[in-house]
Amino acid sequence: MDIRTALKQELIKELRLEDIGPEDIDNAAPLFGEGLGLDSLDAVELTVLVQRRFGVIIEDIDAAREAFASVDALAGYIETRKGELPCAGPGLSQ
Amino acid sequence: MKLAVDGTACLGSFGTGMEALLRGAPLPAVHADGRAVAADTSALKARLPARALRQIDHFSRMALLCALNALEDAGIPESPPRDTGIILVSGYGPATPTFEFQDSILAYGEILASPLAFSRSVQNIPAATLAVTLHLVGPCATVCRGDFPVADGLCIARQWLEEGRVERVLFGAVDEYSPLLARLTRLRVGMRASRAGREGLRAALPVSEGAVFFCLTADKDISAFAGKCRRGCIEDILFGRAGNIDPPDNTGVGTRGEVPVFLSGAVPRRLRALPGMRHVGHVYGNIPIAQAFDAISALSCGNGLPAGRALCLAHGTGGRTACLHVRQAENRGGAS
Repeated sequence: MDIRTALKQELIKELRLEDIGPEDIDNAAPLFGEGLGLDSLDAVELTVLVQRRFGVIIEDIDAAREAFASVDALAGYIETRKGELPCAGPGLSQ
Repeated sequence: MKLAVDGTACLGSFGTGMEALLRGAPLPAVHADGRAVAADTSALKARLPARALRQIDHFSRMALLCALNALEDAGIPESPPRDTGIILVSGYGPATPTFEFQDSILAYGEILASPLAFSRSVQNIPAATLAVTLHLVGPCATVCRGDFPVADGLCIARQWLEEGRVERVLFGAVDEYSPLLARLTRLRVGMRASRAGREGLRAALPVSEGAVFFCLTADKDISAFAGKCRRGCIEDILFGRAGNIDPPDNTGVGTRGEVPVFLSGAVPRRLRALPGMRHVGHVYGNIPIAQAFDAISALSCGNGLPAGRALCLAHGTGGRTACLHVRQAENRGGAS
């Protein structure tokens, strides 16, 4: 499974995005505001989710702003930093 | 001071609305673990945007739908006056999110536990969700306890109205099904039943879930009662230790058949045989907020109450009781 599909599945499951599937999420669309409509609480959850699933730490607000711009941006952020930390839960390899 | 009940609503495993509750059909246990069906909150999707509902869990959805229905019943718009307080009572509160958060800690540790699960597990979140959604800025409180959450919460409502802190209280009683709590409930009920001959009324009931809401205002003028309250009033809230048989003797309305007594809680089996005793738990199931279902049943059962009055008597641990003295509106009708 590619990282974008895995990310979308995690977003739908963990952030309770009801009535949509991975195919409904545009890789380039903003995650927050007008895009998926996520909010600040979702951002905190997403930060934790990325660390425990992919072993990547989002260290500060600037990093979050870059990483959370879209699914494409988040996938890119994870791919360049993957393996910094061990995953706390089932990661992509599982 | 009496509490005027201007609007009511209920939902649960039995369905939604008074008609479903008063139909009186026994609640079947439809799942292998003995629970009844989940309360249906799908009607919320037609009343609130999907984005507003996304982070609202099942417990809060039950509260929200029932609150909206109670406001509608009271003839109050969905954005009620700002001087409205919220009191939410529950036996266990939002149990499912609480256990989800605990599971998250066990699975990922303190650092990586789910922030969303934590936010949903905070006890006052359902009441706060009501306040945010209904744009209410009045006081907002949650009472969560095993014995008498309904009577305790009504005492707070009476206090707020007496002080003039609010003009109206949106009072809700909510409990949700949780497999773990259901298992513990059955263990506890079984132990008590075998130990003291109690629990006879609810031991065999399916563990259920649901919500009851009242729109309450102060009713200071007794003589003006007729026609003032749409549904009736809660004349008094009394606590006692009544020898496990009678309601508290200071209700002034008599007992033993003169006034119907709706029973809930850890009721001694021998009470069931006394005249005037009613038990409608077979309709709403085994649930900590049973007394709220009894009160709404008494307020709404048309001409089923001989003098338009009833006592709703809950038995708690240690033989303690809490009693609501309920009086129907004089122009009372049936279910709404």
